[in-house]
Amino acid sequence: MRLCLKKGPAVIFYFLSGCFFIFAHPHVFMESSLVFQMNEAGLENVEIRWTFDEMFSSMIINDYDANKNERFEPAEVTAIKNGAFNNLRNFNYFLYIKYDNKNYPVKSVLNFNAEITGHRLVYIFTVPVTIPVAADYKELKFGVFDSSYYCQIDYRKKEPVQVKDNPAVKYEYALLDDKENAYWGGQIIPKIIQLKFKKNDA
Amino acid sequence: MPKFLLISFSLLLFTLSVLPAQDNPFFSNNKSKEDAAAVKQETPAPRYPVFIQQWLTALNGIQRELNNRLSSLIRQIVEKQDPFTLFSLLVIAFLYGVIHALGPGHGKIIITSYAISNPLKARQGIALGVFISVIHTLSAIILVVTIYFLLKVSFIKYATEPKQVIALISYSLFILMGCYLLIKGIWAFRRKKAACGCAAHTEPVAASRLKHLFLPALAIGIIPCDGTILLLVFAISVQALWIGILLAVVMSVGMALTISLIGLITIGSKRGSLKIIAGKEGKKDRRRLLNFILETAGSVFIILMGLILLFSNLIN
Repeated sequence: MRLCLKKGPAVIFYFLSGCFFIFAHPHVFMESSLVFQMNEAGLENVEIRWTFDEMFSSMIINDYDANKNERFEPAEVTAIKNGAFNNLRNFNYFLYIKYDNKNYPVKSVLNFNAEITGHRLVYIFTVPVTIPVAADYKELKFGVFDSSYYCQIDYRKKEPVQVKDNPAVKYEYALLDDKENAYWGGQIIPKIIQLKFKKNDA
Repeated sequence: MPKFLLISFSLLLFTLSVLPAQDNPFFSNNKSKEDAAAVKQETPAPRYPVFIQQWLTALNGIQRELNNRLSSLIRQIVEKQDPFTLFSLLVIAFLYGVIHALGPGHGKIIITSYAISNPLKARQGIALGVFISVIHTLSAIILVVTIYFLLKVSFIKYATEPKQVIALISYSLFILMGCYLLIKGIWAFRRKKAACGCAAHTEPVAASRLKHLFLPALAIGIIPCDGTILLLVFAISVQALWIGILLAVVMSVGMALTISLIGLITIGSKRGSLKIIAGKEGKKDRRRLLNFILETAGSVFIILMGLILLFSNLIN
Protein backbone atom coordinates (compact mmCIF):
# COMPACT_ATOMS: atom_id res chain seq x y z
CA MET A 1 0.00 0.00 0.00
CA ARG A 2 2.92 2.37 0.80
CA LEU A 3 4.45 1.63 -2.58
CA CYS A 4 1.10 2.32 -4.19
CA LEU A 5 0.85 5.73 -2.51
CA LYS A 6 4.39 6.69 -3.57
CA LYS A 7 4.58 5.28 -7.07
CA GLY A 8 0.94 5.00 -8.04
CA PRO A 9 0.28 8.70 -8.66
CA ALA A 10 3.59 9.01 -10.51
CA VAL A 11 2.70 6.07 -12.77
CA ILE A 12 -0.71 7.54 -13.48
CA PHE A 13 0.88 10.91 -14.24
CA TYR A 14 3.35 9.39 -16.66
CA PHE A 15 0.65 7.43 -18.46
CA LEU A 16 -1.82 10.29 -18.48
CA SER A 17 0.82 12.60 -19.91
CA GLY A 18 0.76 10.20 -22.83
CA CYS A 19 -3.01 9.91 -22.62
CA PHE A 20 -3.63 13.38 -23.98
CA PHE A 21 -7.18 14.57 -24.29
CA ILE A 22 -8.50 14.45 -27.80
CA PHE A 23 -9.28 18.11 -28.24
CA ALA A 24 -12.37 18.47 -30.35
CA HIS A 25 -11.79 20.24 -33.62
CA PRO A 26 -14.26 20.83 -36.40
CA HIS A 27 -13.53 21.39 -40.07
CA VAL A 28 -16.60 23.48 -40.91
CA PHE A 29 -17.75 26.56 -38.96
CA MET A 30 -21.37 27.72 -39.11
CA GLU A 31 -23.56 30.43 -37.61
CA SER A 32 -27.17 29.59 -36.95
CA SER A 33 -30.23 31.78 -36.36
CA LEU A 34 -33.80 30.66 -35.70
CA VAL A 35 -37.28 32.12 -36.17
CA PHE A 36 -40.12 30.45 -34.26
CA GLN A 37 -43.41 30.93 -36.07
CA MET A 38 -46.50 31.02 -33.87
CA ASN A 39 -50.14 31.00 -34.94
CA GLU A 40 -53.37 31.03 -32.91
CA ALA A 41 -53.13 27.25 -32.44
CA GLY A 42 -49.59 27.29 -31.06
CA LEU A 43 -46.13 26.72 -32.55
CA GLU A 44 -46.30 26.15 -36.29
CA ASN A 45 -42.71 25.74 -37.49
CA VAL A 46 -39.13 26.95 -37.06
CA GLU A 47 -37.20 28.67 -39.83
CA ILE A 48 -33.46 28.02 -39.66
CA ARG A 49 -30.68 29.97 -41.32
CA TRP A 50 -27.09 28.70 -41.49
CA THR A 51 -24.16 30.84 -42.65
CA PHE A 52 -20.97 28.90 -43.41
CA ASP A 53 -17.28 29.83 -43.24
CA GLU A 54 -15.60 30.98 -46.46
CA MET A 55 -13.55 27.83 -47.00
CA PHE A 56 -16.48 25.40 -46.96
CA SER A 57 -18.56 27.95 -48.85
CA SER A 58 -16.01 28.09 -51.67
CA MET A 59 -16.11 24.28 -51.99
CA ILE A 60 -19.89 24.27 -52.49
CA ILE A 61 -19.95 27.41 -54.66
CA ASN A 62 -17.16 26.06 -56.90
CA ASP A 63 -19.04 22.83 -57.50
CA TYR A 64 -22.64 24.04 -57.72
CA ASP A 65 -22.55 27.57 -59.15
CA ALA A 66 -22.37 26.09 -62.66
CA ASN A 67 -22.71 29.39 -64.54
CA LYS A 68 -20.36 31.23 -62.11
CA ASN A 69 -22.74 34.17 -61.68
CA GLU A 70 -22.29 34.18 -57.86
CA ARG A 71 -25.88 33.24 -57.17
CA PHE A 72 -27.77 29.96 -57.20
CA GLU A 73 -30.47 29.37 -59.79
CA PRO A 74 -33.38 27.04 -58.84
CA ALA A 75 -31.76 24.08 -60.62
CA GLU A 76 -28.51 24.73 -58.74
CA VAL A 77 -30.39 24.92 -55.43
CA THR A 78 -31.99 21.54 -56.17
CA ALA A 79 -28.56 20.08 -56.94
CA ILE A 80 -27.19 21.44 -53.65
CA LYS A 81 -30.15 20.04 -51.73
CA ASN A 82 -29.57 16.59 -53.23
CA GLY A 83 -25.78 16.61 -53.10
CA ALA A 84 -24.90 18.66 -50.02
CA PHE A 85 -27.89 18.76 -47.69
CA ASN A 86 -30.19 15.73 -47.80
CA ASN A 87 -27.60 13.47 -46.14
CA LEU A 88 -28.10 15.53 -42.97
CA ARG A 89 -31.29 13.55 -42.37
CA ASN A 90 -28.90 10.90 -40.98
CA PHE A 91 -27.84 13.49 -38.40
CA ASN A 92 -31.37 14.75 -37.63
CA TYR A 93 -30.33 17.93 -39.53
CA PHE A 94 -28.13 18.76 -36.50
CA LEU A 95 -31.33 19.49 -34.56
CA TYR A 96 -32.08 18.55 -31.01
CA ILE A 97 -35.76 19.04 -30.22
CA LYS A 98 -37.41 17.97 -27.01
CA TYR A 99 -41.00 18.73 -26.07
CA ASP A 100 -42.54 17.74 -22.77
CA ASN A 101 -39.36 15.73 -22.06
CA LYS A 102 -39.83 13.64 -25.19
CA ASN A 103 -37.67 13.71 -28.34
CA TYR A 104 -39.30 15.34 -31.35
CA PRO A 105 -37.76 13.67 -34.43
CA VAL A 106 -37.36 15.63 -37.66
CA LYS A 107 -38.63 13.51 -40.55
CA SER A 108 -38.26 16.13 -43.26
CA VAL A 109 -37.68 19.83 -43.86
CA LEU A 110 -39.49 22.34 -46.10
CA ASN A 111 -38.65 25.30 -48.30
CA PHE A 112 -34.91 24.61 -48.63
CA ASN A 113 -32.98 27.41 -50.27
CA ALA A 114 -29.29 28.23 -50.75
CA GLU A 115 -27.83 31.71 -51.23
CA ILE A 116 -24.45 33.40 -51.51
CA THR A 117 -24.00 36.42 -49.23
CA GLY A 118 -20.62 38.16 -49.05
CA HIS A 119 -18.68 35.12 -50.38
CA ARG A 120 -20.45 32.91 -47.83
CA LEU A 121 -22.87 30.07 -48.41
CA VAL A 122 -26.21 30.38 -46.62
CA TYR A 123 -28.75 27.57 -46.17
CA ILE A 124 -32.34 28.45 -45.24
CA PHE A 125 -34.98 25.85 -44.48
CA THR A 126 -38.10 25.32 -42.38
CA VAL A 127 -38.64 22.55 -39.86
CA PRO A 128 -42.29 21.63 -39.20
CA VAL A 129 -42.68 21.61 -35.42
CA THR A 130 -46.39 21.66 -34.74
CA ILE A 131 -47.18 21.96 -31.04
CA PRO A 132 -50.64 23.06 -29.86
CA VAL A 133 -50.85 25.76 -27.22
CA ALA A 134 -52.23 24.80 -23.79
CA ALA A 135 -53.60 26.63 -20.76
CA ASP A 136 -50.35 26.11 -18.84
CA TYR A 137 -46.80 26.74 -19.97
CA LYS A 138 -45.32 23.95 -22.05
CA GLU A 139 -41.56 23.76 -22.53
CA LEU A 140 -39.77 23.19 -25.81
CA LYS A 141 -36.00 22.67 -25.91
CA PHE A 142 -34.46 23.40 -29.28
CA GLY A 143 -30.76 23.01 -30.03
CA VAL A 144 -28.60 23.13 -33.17
CA PHE A 145 -25.32 21.22 -32.89
CA ASP A 146 -23.38 18.53 -34.72
CA SER A 147 -22.69 15.76 -32.22
CA SER A 148 -20.21 14.20 -34.70
CA TYR A 149 -18.37 17.53 -34.36
CA TYR A 150 -17.33 17.78 -37.97
CA CYS A 151 -19.10 21.17 -37.83
CA GLN A 152 -18.92 23.80 -35.12
CA ILE A 153 -22.31 25.56 -34.99
CA ASP A 154 -22.57 28.83 -33.06
CA TYR A 155 -25.61 31.06 -32.72
CA ARG A 156 -25.48 34.36 -34.56
CA LYS A 157 -24.36 37.12 -32.21
CA LYS A 158 -27.08 39.59 -33.24
CA GLU A 159 -30.64 38.35 -32.68
CA PRO A 160 -29.93 34.60 -32.75
CA VAL A 161 -33.56 33.88 -31.90
CA GLN A 162 -36.71 35.61 -33.07
CA VAL A 163 -40.33 34.74 -32.40
CA LYS A 164 -43.00 35.72 -34.93
CA ASP A 165 -45.67 35.89 -32.33
CA ASN A 166 -49.42 35.77 -32.28
CA PRO A 167 -51.70 37.60 -29.82
CA ALA A 168 -53.30 34.28 -28.83
CA VAL A 169 -49.99 32.95 -27.47
CA LYS A 170 -47.91 34.13 -24.52
CA TYR A 171 -44.28 33.04 -24.57
CA GLU A 172 -40.84 33.48 -23.06
CA TYR A 173 -37.47 32.07 -24.11
CA ALA A 174 -33.87 31.84 -22.98
CA LEU A 175 -30.55 30.66 -24.46
CA LEU A 176 -28.97 28.22 -22.00
CA ASP A 177 -25.98 25.88 -21.64
CA ASP A 178 -27.27 22.32 -21.84
CA LYS A 179 -24.80 20.40 -19.66
CA GLU A 180 -26.96 17.25 -19.79
CA ASN A 181 -26.29 16.95 -23.54
CA ALA A 182 -22.54 17.52 -23.57
CA TYR A 183 -21.23 15.71 -26.66
CA TRP A 184 -17.99 14.55 -28.27
CA GLY A 185 -17.05 12.47 -25.28
CA GLY A 186 -18.61 15.00 -22.91
CA GLN A 187 -16.19 17.73 -23.96
CA ILE A 188 -18.50 20.25 -25.62
CA ILE A 189 -21.54 21.81 -23.95
CA PRO A 190 -24.17 22.88 -26.49
CA LYS A 191 -26.38 25.94 -26.13
CA ILE A 192 -30.11 25.35 -26.51
CA ILE A 193 -33.18 27.54 -26.67
CA GLN A 194 -35.71 26.94 -23.95
CA LEU A 195 -39.08 28.21 -25.25
CA LYS A 196 -42.11 28.24 -22.97
CA PHE A 197 -45.53 29.17 -24.33
CA LYS A 198 -49.20 29.02 -23.31
CA LYS A 199 -52.60 30.41 -24.20
CA ASN A 200 -52.80 34.13 -23.68
CA ASP A 201 -55.61 34.70 -21.20
CA ALA A 202 -55.43 38.49 -21.48
CA MET B 1 -1.44 -6.05 -7.40
CA PRO B 2 -2.40 -2.37 -6.74
CA LYS B 3 0.31 -1.20 -9.21
CA PHE B 4 -0.98 -3.59 -11.83
CA LEU B 5 -4.47 -2.21 -11.31
CA LEU B 6 -3.14 1.34 -11.65
CA ILE B 7 -1.44 0.50 -14.94
CA SER B 8 -4.54 -1.29 -16.21
CA PHE B 9 -6.69 1.68 -15.29
CA SER B 10 -4.33 4.09 -17.04
CA LEU B 11 -4.30 1.96 -20.17
CA LEU B 12 -8.10 1.78 -20.10
CA LEU B 13 -8.34 5.55 -19.71
CA PHE B 14 -5.92 5.90 -22.59
CA THR B 15 -8.08 3.67 -24.75
CA LEU B 16 -11.28 5.49 -23.84
CA SER B 17 -9.76 8.82 -24.83
CA VAL B 18 -9.74 7.71 -28.44
CA LEU B 19 -12.27 9.33 -30.70
CA PRO B 20 -12.10 8.68 -34.43
CA ALA B 21 -12.17 11.33 -37.16
CA GLN B 22 -15.52 11.86 -38.89
CA ASP B 23 -16.59 12.09 -42.52
CA ASN B 24 -18.23 15.26 -43.82
CA PRO B 25 -21.91 14.81 -42.84
CA PHE B 26 -23.12 16.98 -45.72
CA PHE B 27 -22.02 14.49 -48.32
CA SER B 28 -20.73 11.28 -46.70
CA ASN B 29 -22.31 7.97 -47.71
CA ASN B 30 -23.46 6.95 -44.24
CA LYS B 31 -26.45 4.64 -44.21
CA SER B 32 -29.61 6.12 -42.83
CA LYS B 33 -29.42 6.18 -39.06
CA GLU B 34 -32.33 8.46 -38.31
CA ASP B 35 -32.51 7.48 -34.71
CA ALA B 36 -28.79 7.94 -34.19
CA ALA B 37 -29.02 11.57 -33.19
CA ALA B 38 -31.94 10.96 -30.85
CA VAL B 39 -30.32 7.89 -29.29
CA LYS B 40 -27.02 9.71 -28.79
CA GLN B 41 -28.79 12.49 -26.97
CA GLU B 42 -30.54 10.03 -24.66
CA THR B 43 -27.24 8.47 -23.61
CA PRO B 44 -25.73 10.44 -20.74
CA ALA B 45 -22.32 11.79 -21.67
CA PRO B 46 -19.28 11.36 -19.43
CA ARG B 47 -18.67 14.47 -17.36
CA TYR B 48 -15.48 16.42 -17.91
CA PRO B 49 -14.68 19.11 -15.35
CA VAL B 50 -16.38 22.37 -16.26
CA PHE B 51 -13.09 24.25 -16.62
CA ILE B 52 -11.96 21.76 -19.30
CA GLN B 53 -15.26 22.14 -21.19
CA GLN B 54 -14.95 25.93 -21.02
CA TRP B 55 -11.33 25.81 -22.14
CA LEU B 56 -12.20 23.57 -25.09
CA THR B 57 -15.03 25.91 -26.10
CA ALA B 58 -12.56 28.81 -26.01
CA LEU B 59 -10.03 26.78 -28.05
CA ASN B 60 -12.65 26.08 -30.69
CA GLY B 61 -13.47 29.78 -30.78
CA ILE B 62 -9.78 30.43 -31.53
CA GLN B 63 -9.89 27.89 -34.37
CA ARG B 64 -12.94 29.58 -35.85
CA GLU B 65 -11.20 32.96 -35.73
CA LEU B 66 -8.02 31.52 -37.27
CA ASN B 67 -10.12 29.95 -40.02
CA ASN B 68 -11.80 33.32 -40.73
CA ARG B 69 -8.49 35.20 -40.65
CA LEU B 70 -6.87 32.71 -43.03
CA SER B 71 -9.57 33.12 -45.65
CA SER B 72 -9.72 36.93 -45.41
CA LEU B 73 -5.90 37.26 -45.54
CA ILE B 74 -5.72 34.98 -48.59
CA ARG B 75 -8.19 37.28 -50.37
CA GLN B 76 -6.16 40.28 -49.25
CA ILE B 77 -2.88 38.93 -50.56
CA VAL B 78 -4.42 38.15 -53.94
CA GLU B 79 -5.50 41.81 -54.21
CA LYS B 80 -2.41 43.38 -52.67
CA GLN B 81 0.84 41.44 -52.38
CA ASP B 82 2.62 42.91 -49.38
CA PRO B 83 5.21 41.23 -47.11
CA PHE B 84 3.35 41.99 -43.87
CA THR B 85 0.19 40.25 -45.04
CA LEU B 86 2.22 37.28 -46.23
CA PHE B 87 4.05 37.05 -42.90
CA SER B 88 0.74 37.21 -41.00
CA LEU B 89 -0.63 34.46 -43.24
CA LEU B 90 2.34 32.19 -42.58
CA VAL B 91 2.11 32.67 -38.82
CA ILE B 92 -1.63 31.98 -38.77
CA ALA B 93 -1.23 28.91 -41.02
CA PHE B 94 1.43 27.54 -38.65
CA LEU B 95 -0.78 28.11 -35.57
CA TYR B 96 -3.77 26.61 -37.37
CA GLY B 97 -1.68 23.51 -38.13
CA VAL B 98 -0.59 23.19 -34.48
CA ILE B 99 -4.17 23.41 -33.16
CA HIS B 100 -5.69 21.44 -36.02
CA ALA B 101 -3.48 18.41 -35.32
CA LEU B 102 -4.73 18.30 -31.75
CA GLY B 103 -8.07 17.09 -33.08
CA PRO B 104 -9.00 13.56 -34.06
CA GLY B 105 -7.82 11.94 -37.25
CA HIS B 106 -4.16 12.86 -37.46
CA GLY B 107 -2.73 9.53 -36.42
CA LYS B 108 -2.04 10.48 -32.83
CA ILE B 109 -3.46 7.31 -31.30
CA ILE B 110 -1.51 5.16 -33.76
CA ILE B 111 1.76 7.06 -33.22
CA THR B 112 1.22 6.68 -29.49
CA SER B 113 0.57 2.94 -29.80
CA TYR B 114 3.54 2.59 -32.17
CA ALA B 115 5.81 4.41 -29.71
CA ILE B 116 4.61 2.08 -26.93
CA SER B 117 5.08 -1.05 -29.03
CA ASN B 118 8.56 -0.04 -30.30
CA PRO B 119 11.70 1.05 -28.45
CA LEU B 120 11.94 4.47 -30.15
CA LYS B 121 14.51 7.14 -29.41
CA ALA B 122 13.53 10.80 -29.19
CA ARG B 123 14.83 11.68 -32.67
CA GLN B 124 12.82 8.80 -34.12
CA GLY B 125 9.68 10.12 -32.41
CA ILE B 126 10.29 13.51 -34.01
CA ALA B 127 11.07 11.95 -37.38
CA LEU B 128 7.87 9.89 -37.29
CA GLY B 129 5.80 13.02 -36.53
CA VAL B 130 7.44 14.88 -39.41
CA PHE B 131 6.98 11.98 -41.88
CA ILE B 132 3.27 11.62 -40.94
CA SER B 133 2.63 15.32 -41.35
CA VAL B 134 4.42 15.55 -44.69
CA ILE B 135 2.58 12.55 -46.15
CA HIS B 136 -0.77 13.77 -44.74
CA THR B 137 -0.34 17.16 -46.44
CA LEU B 138 1.12 15.77 -49.68
CA SER B 139 -1.82 13.37 -49.94
CA ALA B 140 -4.28 16.30 -49.73
CA ILE B 141 -2.33 18.36 -52.29
CA ILE B 142 -2.18 15.45 -54.76
CA LEU B 143 -5.92 14.72 -54.37
CA VAL B 144 -6.99 18.35 -54.88
CA VAL B 145 -4.62 19.03 -57.80
CA THR B 146 -5.62 15.76 -59.51
CA ILE B 147 -9.35 16.47 -59.23
CA TYR B 148 -9.27 20.15 -60.13
CA PHE B 149 -6.53 20.32 -62.75
CA LEU B 150 -6.01 16.85 -64.18
CA LEU B 151 -9.53 15.41 -64.10
CA LYS B 152 -11.34 18.80 -63.99
CA VAL B 153 -14.41 17.31 -62.32
CA SER B 154 -16.64 18.12 -59.34
CA PHE B 155 -14.56 17.84 -56.17
CA ILE B 156 -17.44 16.83 -53.91
CA LYS B 157 -18.69 14.18 -56.31
CA TYR B 158 -15.32 12.65 -57.17
CA ALA B 159 -13.22 13.10 -54.04
CA THR B 160 -15.40 11.17 -51.61
CA GLU B 161 -14.83 7.74 -53.12
CA PRO B 162 -11.02 8.00 -53.51
CA LYS B 163 -10.80 9.23 -49.93
CA GLN B 164 -12.79 6.25 -48.73
CA VAL B 165 -10.60 3.84 -50.72
CA ILE B 166 -7.44 5.49 -49.32
CA ALA B 167 -8.89 5.20 -45.82
CA LEU B 168 -9.54 1.47 -46.29
CA ILE B 169 -5.94 1.00 -47.50
CA SER B 170 -4.68 2.92 -44.47
CA TYR B 171 -6.70 0.85 -41.99
CA SER B 172 -5.52 -2.38 -43.67
CA LEU B 173 -1.93 -1.17 -43.30
CA PHE B 174 -2.59 -0.54 -39.57
CA ILE B 175 -3.62 -4.18 -39.18
CA LEU B 176 -0.59 -5.47 -41.10
CA MET B 177 1.75 -3.18 -39.17
CA GLY B 178 0.27 -4.25 -35.84
CA CYS B 179 0.58 -7.95 -36.75
CA TYR B 180 4.19 -7.46 -37.83
CA LEU B 181 5.09 -5.68 -34.57
CA LEU B 182 3.31 -8.32 -32.49
CA ILE B 183 5.02 -11.26 -34.21
CA LYS B 184 8.41 -9.51 -34.12
CA GLY B 185 8.07 -8.83 -30.38
CA ILE B 186 6.90 -12.32 -29.44
CA TRP B 187 9.57 -13.94 -31.64
CA ALA B 188 12.37 -11.93 -30.04
CA PHE B 189 11.02 -12.63 -26.54
CA ARG B 190 10.77 -16.39 -27.12
CA ARG B 191 14.16 -16.63 -28.85
CA LYS B 192 16.00 -14.98 -25.98
CA LYS B 193 14.03 -16.91 -23.40
CA ALA B 194 14.84 -20.21 -25.16
CA ALA B 195 18.54 -19.28 -25.22
CA CYS B 196 18.87 -18.94 -21.46
CA GLY B 197 15.55 -20.19 -20.16
CA CYS B 198 14.63 -17.01 -18.30
CA ALA B 199 12.81 -13.78 -18.94
CA ALA B 200 15.66 -11.82 -17.33
CA HIS B 201 17.80 -11.99 -20.43
CA THR B 202 15.16 -10.84 -22.84
CA GLU B 203 16.62 -7.78 -24.50
CA PRO B 204 14.30 -5.18 -25.98
CA VAL B 205 14.16 -5.24 -29.78
CA ALA B 206 16.64 -2.80 -31.29
CA ALA B 207 15.24 0.65 -31.97
CA SER B 208 13.88 1.15 -35.50
CA ARG B 209 16.07 2.95 -38.00
CA LEU B 210 14.72 6.13 -39.59
CA LYS B 211 13.98 4.41 -42.89
CA HIS B 212 11.82 1.82 -41.07
CA LEU B 213 9.57 4.65 -39.92
CA PHE B 214 8.46 5.48 -43.44
CA LEU B 215 5.94 2.62 -43.68
CA PRO B 216 4.08 3.37 -40.43
CA ALA B 217 4.13 7.06 -41.41
CA LEU B 218 2.58 6.13 -44.77
CA ALA B 219 -0.08 3.97 -43.11
CA ILE B 220 -1.03 6.81 -40.77
CA GLY B 221 -0.58 9.83 -43.00
CA ILE B 222 -1.92 8.62 -46.33
CA ILE B 223 -5.49 9.74 -45.61
CA PRO B 224 -5.70 13.33 -46.94
CA CYS B 225 -6.18 16.02 -44.31
CA ASP B 226 -9.64 17.63 -44.61
CA GLY B 227 -8.38 20.91 -43.16
CA THR B 228 -5.68 21.11 -45.85
CA ILE B 229 -8.19 20.17 -48.55
CA LEU B 230 -10.54 23.00 -47.56
CA LEU B 231 -7.65 25.48 -47.52
CA LEU B 232 -6.48 24.42 -51.00
CA VAL B 233 -9.98 24.44 -52.48
CA PHE B 234 -10.46 27.96 -51.17
CA ALA B 235 -7.11 29.08 -52.56
CA ILE B 236 -8.06 27.69 -55.99
CA SER B 237 -11.40 29.53 -55.84
CA VAL B 238 -9.56 32.87 -55.48
CA GLN B 239 -6.95 31.96 -58.13
CA ALA B 240 -4.18 31.54 -55.54
CA LEU B 241 -3.18 27.86 -55.77
CA TRP B 242 0.52 28.48 -55.09
CA ILE B 243 -0.26 30.49 -51.98
CA GLY B 244 -2.54 27.65 -50.92
CA ILE B 245 0.26 25.11 -51.38
CA LEU B 246 2.71 27.33 -49.47
CA LEU B 247 0.24 27.66 -46.60
CA ALA B 248 -0.43 23.90 -46.66
CA VAL B 249 3.31 23.31 -46.24
CA VAL B 250 3.49 25.76 -43.33
CA MET B 251 0.40 24.14 -41.81
CA SER B 252 2.14 20.77 -42.04
CA VAL B 253 5.09 22.20 -40.06
CA GLY B 254 2.63 23.15 -37.31
CA MET B 255 1.02 19.70 -37.45
CA ALA B 256 4.48 18.04 -37.36
CA LEU B 257 5.26 19.96 -34.18
CA THR B 258 2.11 18.73 -32.45
CA ILE B 259 2.34 15.12 -33.65
CA SER B 260 6.09 14.87 -32.83
CA LEU B 261 5.46 16.33 -29.38
CA ILE B 262 2.84 13.67 -28.75
CA GLY B 263 5.27 10.98 -29.89
CA LEU B 264 7.95 12.40 -27.55
CA ILE B 265 5.54 12.54 -24.61
CA THR B 266 4.62 8.91 -25.21
CA ILE B 267 8.27 7.82 -25.43
CA GLY B 268 9.03 9.72 -22.23
CA SER B 269 5.92 8.38 -20.49
CA LYS B 270 6.83 4.80 -21.32
CA ARG B 271 10.43 5.18 -20.10
CA GLY B 272 9.33 7.04 -16.98
CA SER B 273 6.72 4.43 -16.10
CA LEU B 274 9.19 1.57 -16.59
CA LYS B 275 11.74 3.32 -14.37
CA ILE B 276 9.18 3.93 -11.67
CA ILE B 277 7.83 0.39 -11.68
CA ALA B 278 11.17 -1.39 -11.88
CA GLY B 279 13.43 1.18 -10.24
CA LYS B 280 16.43 2.85 -11.91
CA GLU B 281 19.03 0.09 -11.74
CA GLY B 282 17.43 -2.86 -10.04
CA LYS B 283 14.68 -5.32 -11.05
CA LYS B 284 15.81 -5.47 -14.68
CA ASP B 285 13.92 -8.72 -15.23
CA ARG B 286 10.67 -7.07 -14.11
CA ARG B 287 11.42 -4.05 -16.30
CA ARG B 288 12.04 -6.17 -19.37
CA LEU B 289 8.95 -8.26 -18.78
CA LEU B 290 6.84 -5.12 -18.35
CA ASN B 291 8.42 -3.68 -21.48
CA PHE B 292 7.39 -6.81 -23.40
CA ILE B 293 3.84 -6.57 -22.01
CA LEU B 294 3.56 -2.89 -22.98
CA GLU B 295 4.92 -3.47 -26.48
CA THR B 296 2.57 -6.42 -27.01
CA ALA B 297 -0.38 -4.36 -25.76
CA GLY B 298 0.60 -1.52 -28.13
CA SER B 299 0.72 -3.89 -31.13
CA VAL B 300 -2.62 -5.50 -30.22
CA PHE B 301 -4.16 -2.05 -29.86
CA ILE B 302 -2.98 -1.04 -33.34
CA ILE B 303 -4.52 -4.23 -34.77
CA LEU B 304 -7.82 -3.63 -32.95
CA MET B 305 -7.99 0.02 -34.05
CA GLY B 306 -7.32 -1.04 -37.63
CA LEU B 307 -10.02 -3.73 -37.50
CA ILE B 308 -12.63 -1.43 -35.94
CA LEU B 309 -11.96 1.38 -38.43
CA LEU B 310 -11.83 -0.99 -41.41
CA PHE B 311 -15.06 -2.82 -40.62
CA SER B 312 -17.03 0.26 -39.58
CA ASN B 313 -16.06 1.93 -42.88
CA LEU B 314 -16.90 -1.18 -44.89
CA ILE B 315 -20.32 -1.37 -43.22
CA ASN B 316 -20.96 2.32 -43.99
